[in-house]
Amino acid sequence: MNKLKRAMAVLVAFALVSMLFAGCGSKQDAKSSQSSDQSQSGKPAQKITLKMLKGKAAHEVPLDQMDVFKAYEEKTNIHVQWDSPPAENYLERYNLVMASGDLPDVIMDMPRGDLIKYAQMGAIIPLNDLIEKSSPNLKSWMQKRPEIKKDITGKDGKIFYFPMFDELPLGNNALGLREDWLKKLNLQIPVTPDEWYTVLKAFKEKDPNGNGKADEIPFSGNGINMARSLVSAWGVLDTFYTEPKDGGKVHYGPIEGKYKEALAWIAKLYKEGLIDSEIATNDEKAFQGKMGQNVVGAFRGAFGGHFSAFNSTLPKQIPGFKITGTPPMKGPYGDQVHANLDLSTRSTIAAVITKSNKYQEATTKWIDYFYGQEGALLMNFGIEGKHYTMQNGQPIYTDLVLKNPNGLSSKQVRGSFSITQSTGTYVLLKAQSDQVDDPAVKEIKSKYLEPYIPEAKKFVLPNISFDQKDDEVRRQVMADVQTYVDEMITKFILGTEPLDNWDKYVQKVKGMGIDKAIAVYQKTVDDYKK
Amino acid sequence: MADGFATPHEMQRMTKPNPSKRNEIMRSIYKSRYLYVLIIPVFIYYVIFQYVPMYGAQIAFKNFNPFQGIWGSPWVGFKYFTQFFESVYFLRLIRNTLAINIYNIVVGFPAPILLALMLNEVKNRVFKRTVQTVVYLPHFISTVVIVGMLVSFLSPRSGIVNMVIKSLGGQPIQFLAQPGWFRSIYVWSGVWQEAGWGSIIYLAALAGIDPSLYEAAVVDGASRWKRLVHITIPCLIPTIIIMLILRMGGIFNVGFEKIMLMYNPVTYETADVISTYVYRRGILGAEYSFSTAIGLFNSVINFVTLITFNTISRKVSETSLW
Amino acid sequence: MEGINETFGEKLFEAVIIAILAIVCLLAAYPVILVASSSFSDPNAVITNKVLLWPVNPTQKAYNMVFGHPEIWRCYGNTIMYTLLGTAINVFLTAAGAYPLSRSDFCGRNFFMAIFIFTMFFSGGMIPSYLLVKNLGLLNSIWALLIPGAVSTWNLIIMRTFFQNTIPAELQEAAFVDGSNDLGVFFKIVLPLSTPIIAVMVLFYGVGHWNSWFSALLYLSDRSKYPLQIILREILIQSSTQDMSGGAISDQEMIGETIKYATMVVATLPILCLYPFLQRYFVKGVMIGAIKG
Repeated sequence: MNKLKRAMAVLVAFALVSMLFAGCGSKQDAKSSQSSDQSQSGKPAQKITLKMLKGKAAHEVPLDQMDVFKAYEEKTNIHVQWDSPPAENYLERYNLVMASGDLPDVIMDMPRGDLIKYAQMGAIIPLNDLIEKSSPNLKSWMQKRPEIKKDITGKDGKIFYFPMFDELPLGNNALGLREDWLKKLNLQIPVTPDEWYTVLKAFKEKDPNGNGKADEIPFSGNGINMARSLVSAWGVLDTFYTEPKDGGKVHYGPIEGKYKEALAWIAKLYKEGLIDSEIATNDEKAFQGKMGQNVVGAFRGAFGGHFSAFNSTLPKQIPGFKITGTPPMKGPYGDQVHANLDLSTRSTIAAVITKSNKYQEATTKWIDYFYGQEGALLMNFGIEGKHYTMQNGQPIYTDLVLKNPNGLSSKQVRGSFSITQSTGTYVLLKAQSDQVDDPAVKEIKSKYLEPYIPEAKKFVLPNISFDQKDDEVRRQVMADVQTYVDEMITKFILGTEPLDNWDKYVQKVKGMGIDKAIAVYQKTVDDYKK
Repeated sequence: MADGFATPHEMQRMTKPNPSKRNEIMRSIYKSRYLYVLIIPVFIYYVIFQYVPMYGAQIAFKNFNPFQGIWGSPWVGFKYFTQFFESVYFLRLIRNTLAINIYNIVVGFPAPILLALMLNEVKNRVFKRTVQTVVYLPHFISTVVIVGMLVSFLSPRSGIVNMVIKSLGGQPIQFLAQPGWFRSIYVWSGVWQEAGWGSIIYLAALAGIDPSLYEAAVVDGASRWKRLVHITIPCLIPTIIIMLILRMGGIFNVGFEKIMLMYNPVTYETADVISTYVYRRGILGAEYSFSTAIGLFNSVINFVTLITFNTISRKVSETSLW
Repeated sequence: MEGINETFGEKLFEAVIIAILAIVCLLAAYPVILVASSSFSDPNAVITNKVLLWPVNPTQKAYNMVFGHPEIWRCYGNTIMYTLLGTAINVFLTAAGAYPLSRSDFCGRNFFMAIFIFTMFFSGGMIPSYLLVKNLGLLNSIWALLIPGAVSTWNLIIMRTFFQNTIPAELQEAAFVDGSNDLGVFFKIVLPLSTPIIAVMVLFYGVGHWNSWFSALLYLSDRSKYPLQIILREILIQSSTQDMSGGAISDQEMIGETIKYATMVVATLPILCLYPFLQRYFVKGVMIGAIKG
């Protein structure tokens, strides 16, 4: 026993000492950079390697195993060395990489707040000339849709990142309800708050789930924010927004008079038991549990995780179960606003080129490919024959994707061949969404979303980037404001705080400096509009 | 406690007249040279892996961004500390952090000790081993699952607790929406989860008590209760004191994950602690410097508390950290 | 007679204790049983809170998903290796640091104690540690996982306390008189008598290694070196139904809840088997025979 311990001690000591002297041993070495930039189109003569940093979403296979990138490497003779930590820990790795000074050639999904800062420090390079010379696909999109150019150009006229955007930008989150319950009670899809009130009251009192118990929860959601979002019917948003009736100036929803009116209505619903009494403590699991117990009549939720999920799995347990969408609620001032919009470009900073990149043109071409017809097809649809076939000039997914023999969802199959289910430097084709969306979701998108986009655009803020100093002010103020607002609004809804105290509440928020934050937003939005 | 050992060498040295102070120290070190052999590798580890990186604590005083690095980032002095102290919620956060921790200590510190003592008194080996094993299992259940269970049990609609209340004729209580209930739920569920794991140290200490002490006591006619009070507990006291001092050194540490999962805006009043506030602020935008500054503030308070308790302990009992 | 009364009182005492412990045991067992049952249940039942004690519609699907992952066995192996090697290093270094501190005649005792304790409160943070590991050339190696956390000051103090309070001074003195030096005393007398605390350290450090994932994320870029927890977390997230796109979800994603429980069982089972094995060291009377004469 002693001898063993002594032997171990010696071993460990040896290991420690040798490690101390390991020095610059097994460090990853930078791949040897090859000769000059290649400036003509077509395959470069020698294989070049680009280092790229991107988070890997949970359902994706490791990026170097994706069919799309393998095929692309063969085509371009450019090898990508991916540094792809799990997406939920991307930020830690990103910060470490920046701190270590060992920058990769391309960084994807840089946090928006860092963009201006790192541009000013020269960590990332301006892309205007590169795009002009080597990015024909992106250029043509920018001509077709000028907002794309506007989104990515900073106020000094310089472009610092490549965007991701949709062929047809839509949005997410909608109000939904049990179509089977509506039919059973002979009701129409509600539009105004009064109609909603009637429907919810009927859900509560007329026992649509037919079990003889008054256990129905007319309206629920996975958190208090779902109830708060109902304010949009009054023409305010539950955050910073631009007020069309005030010349497009930036307002902060939670202190507006119209917000108070909306709150009064919501609080009334809560008091009468028409909103889930547990909505403030609900989490995703609790909410889904209630849906599965056949007691929830209406809700607000996400297309994929809620609408699609419920419609595809719950009918097995609850016969006749069907969720349908509704148009945005139309409030007393005639506003019908769908607040969760996809803007002309996604907010993600899809890719930046760092100052360490020695192949700037080749990199630009590599990225630009996915904005063009061929590249977008590759990224969205994968390999012809394996993942899709062309029928009448349209790409159609094969059964491997839509009806996978191993029971994988289409999301997972797509995650096996490309990054199309997360973010990237490409255009998301409408054809993809058309084929993978649940029919209810498709209906919602075309009937209840698309027609309302122009109206919503008047309210929703564009993709702005804050100056460093402005951002500090914003964060400093909002840290406390957010806490206070969240507390008070929840209390107003739950009724533990009477709405008579509204004015005191607004005074307090103003005292916390909300006007400074609004000014910051205003300035940044104005700069954007120029 | 293990006492000084007078070796023959030392006895010799002590008879020499007036050694100089420096020589004395050198000789003492020489005398302990084998102990140094043991401790030096550990010391090297601390220097390299704990002390060398400490220059990073500067982040609290700089407007840090990773690209410029720690040395290159601009110095801002106490800016972030001031921001935190000036927050409307500063006092509330401190109050909640302290209140939750003190409640936790009052309830949660004795629990593992009592558990260990009870287990120690059980004669049936099989029963003892079984309980010992089962009771430490909840420690391994992740916080997310524990909170999920709590939410289920406490649900006003369908939770067990409220069903019992209703059957007794009462009104269901929405526990997790009541600021008054938050701390109790937090602390007691923590005891449920951690008492078993926490008792392990005390069980080990109890196993180290010299059985001949008990034998002698039995011969003297001492009852079980007397044995517990006059042997078991006194032998356990040094361990208890050290654990308590260490625990006080964490007076400002309230882990944010469990609170995050359990709280909601309605209970911010009693539930919002320093770590959750910092976390929410981090969502608005990465705030390395801010969170480092708060962490430093926490550490200083913890450290001062530890020193205070250690000093008190040294004066009052024989046990202390140094 | 006094003797009979004491016996009755003692019996009552023990009965009460057994009753209390039994209740505590049940309270502790319940969540554990619930987790295990949920992992074997039909996902719909789990989500709608129908699983109260035993599995509902038992199914193996969650486990199939977990064990079907291509990387799971390699990661299991990695974790076992990291745990064994890491714990050995931990226990040895901690003991080597704790013993000198337990000796009141150790010159420099307070100095070292202060140095060690200070680090419990102040540290440089993630970035300087990362840079240090990088500069030492340890990135992407197993040593990056085992060395930076080699000694926990908390455990060091606990071990020191044990040495101080439990190992009798006379024993060590006797060894000195016999001509032994400090190292001899340490290896031949102190360590063998310290089996309870060594068992505790093996448990604490072992569990720490077993559950760790953050260091691996920071320092490892090679997926083949990943420990178990990282893969389990990925499996878990993958199965969550939080999906922003409009696509329909698979059966796999539906069973997300049960996967959460299955991953916990898979991750924890080996550790649960370790403790009973270590329990025998918590037996009273480890000192018997140690005191000569």
